[in-house]
Amino acid sequence: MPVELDHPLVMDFVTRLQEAASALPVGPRDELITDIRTHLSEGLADIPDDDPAAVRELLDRLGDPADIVAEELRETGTAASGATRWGLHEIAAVALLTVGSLLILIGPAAGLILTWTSTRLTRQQKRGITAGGLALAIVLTFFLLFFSVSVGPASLVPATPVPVPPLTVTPS
Amino acid sequence: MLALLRERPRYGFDLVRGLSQAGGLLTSEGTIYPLLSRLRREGVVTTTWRESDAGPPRRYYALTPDGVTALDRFTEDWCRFRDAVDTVLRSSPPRSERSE
Repeated sequence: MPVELDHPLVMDFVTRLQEAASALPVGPRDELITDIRTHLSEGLADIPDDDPAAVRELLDRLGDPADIVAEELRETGTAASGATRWGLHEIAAVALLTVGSLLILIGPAAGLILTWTSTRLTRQQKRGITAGGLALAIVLTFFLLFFSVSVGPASLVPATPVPVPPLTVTPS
Repeated sequence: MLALLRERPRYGFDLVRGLSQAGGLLTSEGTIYPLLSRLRREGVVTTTWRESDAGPPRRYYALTPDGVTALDRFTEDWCRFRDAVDTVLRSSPPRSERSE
């Protein structure tokens, strides 16, 4: 009787692979796990039930699950950088956070919503865009405050206060 | 790997065996699967599922026309590189011969 996939050594290997693969996106993860499981059942078909050493050798030759997943991450990483093009959604998000900052509150708020609802941006990119947008909003706010203080109200106030005549109390 | 696929389509386990027989080309057999996925995404290989006599269906890999072009280009570059290294090695004989 050949060894099945429910052999303790094999199950331990598959569990470790699944744990490591949780870092991968769903598509590549399922594909990798299916490929490795198929490989294991092919290899195990030739191994008799009472030969744990041969099972161990098969697993050793496959390598550490963490290394396999690391390789997959490297391969999908290089492919993903070309595949995740920004769409209208992402461009609108950044435009609202930058140019849109002139529409105080509404622009940046809409930009933030679009940024965080994007499916193409990574979490790291979202954080970066948010930080950039907030920094710009703070700079703009300070700029507007400075502008309104130095130019706006100041021009309405006379440069030298009109002397107020001292109150004189006239004895009745 | 592409060279192994030139003869005929192969499934993963078969490819691994082929590479192991060539000797020393694989340190971790599992890493062949991430590589195959990337080659498929790049359009160098195509995959088809075929039933096997025993066990689960197998994913077969075959070269696409782009794959054949890539393999030809690599073969050409590799031969040029190998010839260049051979020429340099021949022009500077090992230390033991030179010190005479």
